[in-house]
Amino acid sequence: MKNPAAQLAVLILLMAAAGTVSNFARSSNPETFLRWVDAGRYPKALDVEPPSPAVSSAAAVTPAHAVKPGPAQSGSPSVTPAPSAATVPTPKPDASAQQSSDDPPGAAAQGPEGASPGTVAAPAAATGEYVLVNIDRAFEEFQAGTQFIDARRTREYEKGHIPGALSLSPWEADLPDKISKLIEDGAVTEAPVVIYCNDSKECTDSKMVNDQLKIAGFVNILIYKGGWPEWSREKPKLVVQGREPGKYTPSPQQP
Amino acid sequence: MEFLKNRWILALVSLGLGGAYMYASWHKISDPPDFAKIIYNYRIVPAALVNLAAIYLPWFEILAGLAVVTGIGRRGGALGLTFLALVFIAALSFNLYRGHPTICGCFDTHAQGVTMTVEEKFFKMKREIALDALFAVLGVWIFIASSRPRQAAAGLTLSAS
Repeated sequence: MKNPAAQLAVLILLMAAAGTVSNFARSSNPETFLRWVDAGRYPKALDVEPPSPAVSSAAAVTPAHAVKPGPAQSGSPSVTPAPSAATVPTPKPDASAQQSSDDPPGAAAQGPEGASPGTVAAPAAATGEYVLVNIDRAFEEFQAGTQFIDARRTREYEKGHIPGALSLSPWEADLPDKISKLIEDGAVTEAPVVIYCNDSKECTDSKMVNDQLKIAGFVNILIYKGGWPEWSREKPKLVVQGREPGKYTPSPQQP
Repeated sequence: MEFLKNRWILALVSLGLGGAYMYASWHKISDPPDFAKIIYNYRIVPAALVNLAAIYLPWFEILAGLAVVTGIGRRGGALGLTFLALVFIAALSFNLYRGHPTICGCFDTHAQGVTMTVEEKFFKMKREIALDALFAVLGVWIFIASSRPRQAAAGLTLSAS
């Protein structure tokens, strides 16, 4: 076969066969299997988010707690006023809860560099909205027993994760099944959950899981902006390995 | 410029170009979700095509690379690899133009790009564009050089000796 166009056509046919067979062969392994068409999982496939420093600076100067990208701004975050902390059903039995509610507005969205105590943020009910929190707020939630969600890939989760965190990667085919199981197991959709991932700049994976959880009915979702890179650096003792979520046993020696 | 048509040089260049694409495809084939993540982060491919591209594109890379290396369907393979290089150049250039930092995903996984700064990503994008331009040139060269009858190419060696 000398005609390059014919050769190319053969290559395309071989590609189609090999790709189809290989993906079918992976269908029993949700960690590497891809659904053929999964458009619903990529609602912002064509949206370009602004660099994260812009998010942080905007949040730092604007009196608000919640950062939400509205569809009209094609992904660019806007800052919305938050209601009083008392309206948010966040379990905070300790004194830090009161302290948090007295913090200056905007502290929650400053990100890890802000290093200010995280404040109680408003629930972002609509899909596409998200609430960023820093490590202090994430740690408060951790101590309060809030459910953490690890949005990284399962193989990264196995190497180390926050104790008690569930593995829900938006890139793995079993995400809907895991969310359904979470609800079947009795998760309260009004209770806060904290999502973190490996990307402390854009938090893309966390935002994708946030969207899926919103669709499932969760209303009080926080995204820990520093994510795994910051947590593993700042709280190295609060890390567990393996496929199981693991448990956290508070002790005075814990950081 | 006659040396460019030497079949040994052609074989060497084919091995380099085809081998590079085969190497680049391997981590994408072994972990399609990671490649889907890279494609998604280009923010160019429509949502419905993200997974399909991640499933099929690496197989095209490896098969076209194999064709170029082995010489079986080399011109078709070279044509395909040149087209891929041009697509990558267009995608990277577009994101560079609109200031959207992303990682090429040509030879690296998504996780390797997470720790990079925006400036590092932009620098790497420019480097990848240059590399893809080189690949496109090599692809065209292989396509043209392979079009000559084998005897004519061999005759070059004979005339040189």
